[in-house]
Amino acid sequence: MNKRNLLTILPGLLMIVSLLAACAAPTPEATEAPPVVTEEEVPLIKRFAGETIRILMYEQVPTYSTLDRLAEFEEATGIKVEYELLAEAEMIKKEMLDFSSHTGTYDVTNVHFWYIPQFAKLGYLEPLESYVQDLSVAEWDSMADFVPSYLESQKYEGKLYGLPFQGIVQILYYRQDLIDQYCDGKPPATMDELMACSKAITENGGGEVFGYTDRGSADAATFMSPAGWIYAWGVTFLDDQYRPQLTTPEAIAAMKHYVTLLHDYGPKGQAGMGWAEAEQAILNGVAAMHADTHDLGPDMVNPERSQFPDQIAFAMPPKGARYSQDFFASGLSINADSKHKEAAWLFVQWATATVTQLEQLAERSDFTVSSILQSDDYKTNVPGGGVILEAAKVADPLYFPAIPEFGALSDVFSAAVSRMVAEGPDSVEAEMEKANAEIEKLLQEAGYYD
Amino acid sequence: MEKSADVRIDHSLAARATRPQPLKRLAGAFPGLVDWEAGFLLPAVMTMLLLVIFPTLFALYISLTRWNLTEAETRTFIGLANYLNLLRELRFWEALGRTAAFMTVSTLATLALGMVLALLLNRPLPVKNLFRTLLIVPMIITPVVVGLTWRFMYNPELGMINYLISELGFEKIAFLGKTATSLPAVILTDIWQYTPFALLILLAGLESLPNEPFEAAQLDGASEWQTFWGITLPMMKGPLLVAVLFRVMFSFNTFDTIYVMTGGGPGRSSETLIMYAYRLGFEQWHMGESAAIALIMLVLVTLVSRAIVRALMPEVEGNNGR
Repeated sequence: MNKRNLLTILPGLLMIVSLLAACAAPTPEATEAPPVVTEEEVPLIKRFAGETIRILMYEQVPTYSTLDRLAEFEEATGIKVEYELLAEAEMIKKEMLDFSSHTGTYDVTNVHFWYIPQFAKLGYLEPLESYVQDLSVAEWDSMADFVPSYLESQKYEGKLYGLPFQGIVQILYYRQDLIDQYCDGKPPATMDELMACSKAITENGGGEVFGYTDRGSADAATFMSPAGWIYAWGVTFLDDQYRPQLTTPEAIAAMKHYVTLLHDYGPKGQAGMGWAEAEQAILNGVAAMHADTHDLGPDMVNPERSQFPDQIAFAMPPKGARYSQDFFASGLSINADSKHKEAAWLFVQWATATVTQLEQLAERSDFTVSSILQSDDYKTNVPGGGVILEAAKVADPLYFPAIPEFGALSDVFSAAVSRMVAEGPDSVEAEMEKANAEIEKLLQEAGYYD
Repeated sequence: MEKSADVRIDHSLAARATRPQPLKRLAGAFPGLVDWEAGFLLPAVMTMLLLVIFPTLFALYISLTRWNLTEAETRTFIGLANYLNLLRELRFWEALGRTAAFMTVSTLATLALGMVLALLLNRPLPVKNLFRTLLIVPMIITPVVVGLTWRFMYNPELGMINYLISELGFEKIAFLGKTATSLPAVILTDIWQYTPFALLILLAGLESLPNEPFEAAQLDGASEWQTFWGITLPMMKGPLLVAVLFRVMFSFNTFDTIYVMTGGGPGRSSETLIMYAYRLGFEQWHMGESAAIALIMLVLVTLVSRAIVRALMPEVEGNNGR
C-alpha cells in the first residue's frame, strides 16, 4: 500500500477505531488484580477487600439514603462500590438487557419482586441460600427480622434470590373532617362501608369533592389496585393452573365495586389517572379517600404538598372476604454472571441490614424489618406508622401473578380496567370476559397449558 | 461548473488502475469523484453503516426471529411469522388506524395553521420579529414537558381548559379520561407544538418568492384569494413538500407526548403503532414482534412519503426514478 493510499483511508480507519471504542462495554474490573485473600484467619468482613463491585439501582429515597452511607460499607469491608442510578423504567430496561446479554456488567441490581420469578427461571440471579449459610456477617444478619411477606416476595420455587430492600403495603388514606361529617366519624373498614361512605361524600360534595380515588389509567402500574380488589373478594388473579379468574362471580363483583367507586364516586377523568394523579387528588382535596401504598404518607401530611395536612388520617385497607392488597417490594439481588459474587453478597447484606436501615429512620418509611416497623420511634415519626406493621402482616405477595409474563398480563388487564372505568360498571362483564380470553390465550402461547 | 465536473471525471478515469477496490466502488457510487475525494466520504459512509444501516438490518433480523426476553431460549429464526401474527391481530389494525388518523389530522392542521400564520407574518408588521420568536417557542420545548403541561391543562379539576369551559357554563370534560376524546386531545397538543415548524418552513418559502408575479397579478386586478390560489400556492410547492414530508415522518413516530399524556389509554383508545411497539418490546419483552412493527412502520412511512412526493412534485419523483 503506497503512502497516498494510506492517507486516503486514514480518516476512515480513525473513525472506525473511535466508534468501536465508544461502543465497547465498560469493563471496570479489567484492570484490577484478582483478589488474593486466601488466609482463613482473615475475618469475613475483610476477606474481599480490594475488589470493586458495580451496582445498578433506581432513583428514589431509599436508594439515596443507603448510598449516602456507602463510605461505612467501604471502610468496613475494603470493597469499592461503583454505582449507577437511573430512572425506574430505564433501570428495568438496562437490567433486562444486561442480564439477557450475560455481560455481567453489574454485580448487584435492584429487582422488583414481580421480576424475581422471571429472572430466576432464566438463571439471571444467583440463589442466596449458600451465602446466607456460609458468608453471613453476624452484625448484618437480618434474616430473622425481615417482614415475612417481604422476604417471601424474594423467593421463587422456594429458593431465595434477593434480600428485601424496600417494602410497601396498602393502607387507607382518608380525610378525617369529611369522614366526621358524612360517615359517622369512623373510617370505612369494609368494602360495603367504603362504598356507602364514598357515595355520601360525593353526593354532598357539590361536584367539587368526591368520595374515593384510585388508579384507572391504562399504564402497567394500574394493575396492582384492581388485582388487589379481586383478591379481597377471595380469588386470585390466576388459579393454581395459571388460568385467569376474571370471569368468576367474585372477580366480576370486585370489579363492579371498584369501577362503581371510580366511575360514580371518583373525580372526573379517573380513566386517565394513575397512582400519581390519584395521590394528587387527595393532596388537592378533590377526593376524600384513597387506598394506596404507605410510602405516600409523608406527602399526605406535608403542608407544602397537601392542602389538608392536619386532616389526613390512616387506617387499614378496606376488607371484603380478605383485605385488599397493593403490595410492592424490591430486593437487592446478585447477578449470576457477576465475577465478584461474594463481595456483592456483603453489599446486599449490609444494604438490607437492620442496623443500616435503622440509621435511616428519619429519612424513609419503607423499611423491611419488623423490629423497625414495630418500634415506637417508627410509629411516632412515620405518618401512618401505627397501622403499617398491621397492614404488612396481612399483606400477601401471592395476590400478584408473579410470573415471567406479568408484563403482558398487566398490559391486557390495565387497558381493560381503564376502559371499564371510562365506560362505567355496566361494561364490566364484557370487558372482563374479553380480558380473560386474551390472557388465557397469551398464557397458552407461553406454554402454561394446551 | 460543467467544465470542472468533466475535468474530475477525466482524472478519475486516469487513476482507475491504481485505485484501491473499496474506494473504487465508493467513487463509482458517486460519479464525478476521484479516489481521494471518495476517501473523505469514507468516515461518513462508515458512520452511516454503523449507526443506521447496521441497526436497521439487525432490526430486520430480529423481526424474523422469536426473541422473547422472558424465555430462556435465545433467538429462533421463524421467518415471517411475527409479521403474519401482527397482521392477524385486531390490535395492530386499530393502532394503525389511530396512527393514520394522528398523522393525517396533525399534518393537515399544522400545515393549514402554519400557512395562515406565515401569510400573516409575511406582511409588514411592527413587531414581526417578536411574534416570530414567540410563535416558535412551542417547537423548542421538549415533547415530554409539552405532554406534562397539556396533561395538567386538560385536568378536569385543576386544568385551565376545564376552568374556561366551566366559566362558560358547560360541564367539565375529562379529555384524557374518555375513550372518545383522548386521541383528539393528544392530536391537538401535537398540532400546538408543531405548527411553528410548518410556519418556519413556509415563511422562509414565502420570503423567497419573487415579487414580479404578484405585481403582475395586482395589475391584472386579481383578488387576494385568487392570488393565493393561482400564484402563491403553486409557487410554494417546494416548501410545502418539505413541510409535509417532515410532518408526516414526525407525526407517524410521535411517542413521547402520547406516552406522557395517556400512555395509550384509556383502554387502548390512543395507542398508536409506536406505542404498541414499545409495549411489546419493553413491557412484554417480545423483541421480535416489536421489531416487526418498527419495520412495518419504516415501510409505511417510506411509501406514504413517496406517494406525497409523487403527488406534489412528479418531476422530482421522475428524477429519482431515473
